[in-house]
Amino acid sequence: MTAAAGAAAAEAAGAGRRGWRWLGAAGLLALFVLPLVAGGYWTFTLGLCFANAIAILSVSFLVRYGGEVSIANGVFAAAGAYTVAIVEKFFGLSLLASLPLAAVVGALLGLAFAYPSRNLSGIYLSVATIALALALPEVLLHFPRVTGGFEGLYVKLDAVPGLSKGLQRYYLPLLGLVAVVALLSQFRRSRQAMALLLIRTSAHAAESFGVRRSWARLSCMALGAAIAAIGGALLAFSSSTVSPNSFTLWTSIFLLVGSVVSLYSLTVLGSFVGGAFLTLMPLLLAGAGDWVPILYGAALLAVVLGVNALPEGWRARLEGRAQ
Amino acid sequence: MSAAMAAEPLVVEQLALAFGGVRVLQDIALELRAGEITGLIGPNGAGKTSFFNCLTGLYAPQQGRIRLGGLQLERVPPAGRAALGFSRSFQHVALCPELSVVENVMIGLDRQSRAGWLDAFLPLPRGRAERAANRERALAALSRVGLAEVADRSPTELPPGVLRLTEIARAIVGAPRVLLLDEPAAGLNSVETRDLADALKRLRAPELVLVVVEHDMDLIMEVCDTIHVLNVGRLLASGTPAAVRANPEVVRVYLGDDDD
Repeated sequence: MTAAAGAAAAEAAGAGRRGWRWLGAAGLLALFVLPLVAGGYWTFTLGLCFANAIAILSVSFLVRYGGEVSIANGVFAAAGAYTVAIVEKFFGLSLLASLPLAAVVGALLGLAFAYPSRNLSGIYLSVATIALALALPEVLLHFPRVTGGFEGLYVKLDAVPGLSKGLQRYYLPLLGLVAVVALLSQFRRSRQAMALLLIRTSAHAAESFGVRRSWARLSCMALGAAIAAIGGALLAFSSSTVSPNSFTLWTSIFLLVGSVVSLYSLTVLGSFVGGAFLTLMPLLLAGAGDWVPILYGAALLAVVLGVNALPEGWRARLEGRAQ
Repeated sequence: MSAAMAAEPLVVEQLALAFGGVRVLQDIALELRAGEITGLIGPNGAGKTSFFNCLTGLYAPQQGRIRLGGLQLERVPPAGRAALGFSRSFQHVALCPELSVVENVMIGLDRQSRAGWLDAFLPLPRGRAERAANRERALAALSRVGLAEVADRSPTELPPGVLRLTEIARAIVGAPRVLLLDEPAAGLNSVETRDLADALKRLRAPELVLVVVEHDMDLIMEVCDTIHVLNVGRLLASGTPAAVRANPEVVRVYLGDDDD
């Protein structure tokens, strides 16, 4: 490539990036002003959608940086959700106080799972995560005085006094989603992210430069679990309740489905698409009766195949891997 | 690091490695001196890359000792050897396609970096300063191998020769004490090989143990001070390029006659 052609290509790429940035900024602005025009039903549903998008980011993070598939991220989301509810029940503190604690609890649970499973990979790790997801509801039911048993717990306290409940349930998950994506965007430039990406593609090369496999696995699981816990905490806040039924094996499977639909994207747009698929698709199909699972599967196929048919540049942007 | 410590050789004694019943290396004993460029040659399957993997700790030999100066290395894991200053390139290019060229090179500085998890997630001054300094050092290493202009490109867009040079830049960026290059000229055209030979000569330093595995005999004979020849896991010959070229056994099993 000549210098002139290179400069022209760089300029075109720069113009393309600027175009996407403007589009992204306009989309975010639209989401921030949406409650002014949309009704309570839509703000409530979209709040759940943003919280789900954060939990989906946790699955995508593990795929992108760890090269592993987890079917246990519903468990880490439950850790965050129950942390918020239990802190409110026993200490009377709102989400703003319990959210950082939820992230820490999620990370610790992630570490506790990752350490004994640090030498598992691929299908073996995935099956181990299934076991964790299957065990969770039983564990929650075993301690009813803390977890509320079958009934679960309520999350009623306002996080931002003076703002209506409906708006809090919309804006806090939205802000949480934007914050998590911003933190992940910053993380991508760090030495830790580069080391994780290299060890995923070439473990022996990374080890030769001082990156340890066990460090990589523990870091990925802890960070992924912390993100899932933040998503779970905001989900509890937006839906005002937590119960064992909210965090079954299916929750974890649907988070994985959402992550696939988002193409493992770590962007606001990609994760929002995944969150919308999880949250809105069942509502849109609600009137179809027995046809719901079939239509849901067809919609999933349409999204995955359709997005895969998009031009490479669009997919790269959607997946958040464009330079 | 003192000059005396820095100039210490890497000594291998009675090294043996086997996978199941297959003996990959047997009774390897040699001294890799600092300040020299040492060549390691031999037919395919001779055990050259396995020898490198033993030196960097990726393989655990069943027998023998590896010493860097007075330090025994058998129980030191790969990450620990990297911390001691071991660095290498790979026979099959091992770069991450999701990272740019300069980011791949910056990984060579990971073991010397101190930025923690807070720096990773927040734009704190210390982390930003370290990242900028690492980028500058990576750019300088890329310049040394003539690749400064592709620093921000993706490895997926570049030809194999450029990727090999990128691996060398990653291996040298951390100012290693032991540098192991595994077939650095594979996939390079004649001009790139010429540039590589010049780059290797510039890498020669009094404190650096530099070992090159290579099949390009012109390159090896031109840049190396000492050459060791491996054949089916055993050390066949050692000596200066002229002595190795004149060794009839080496000619028979590897180099071949000029008439061939």
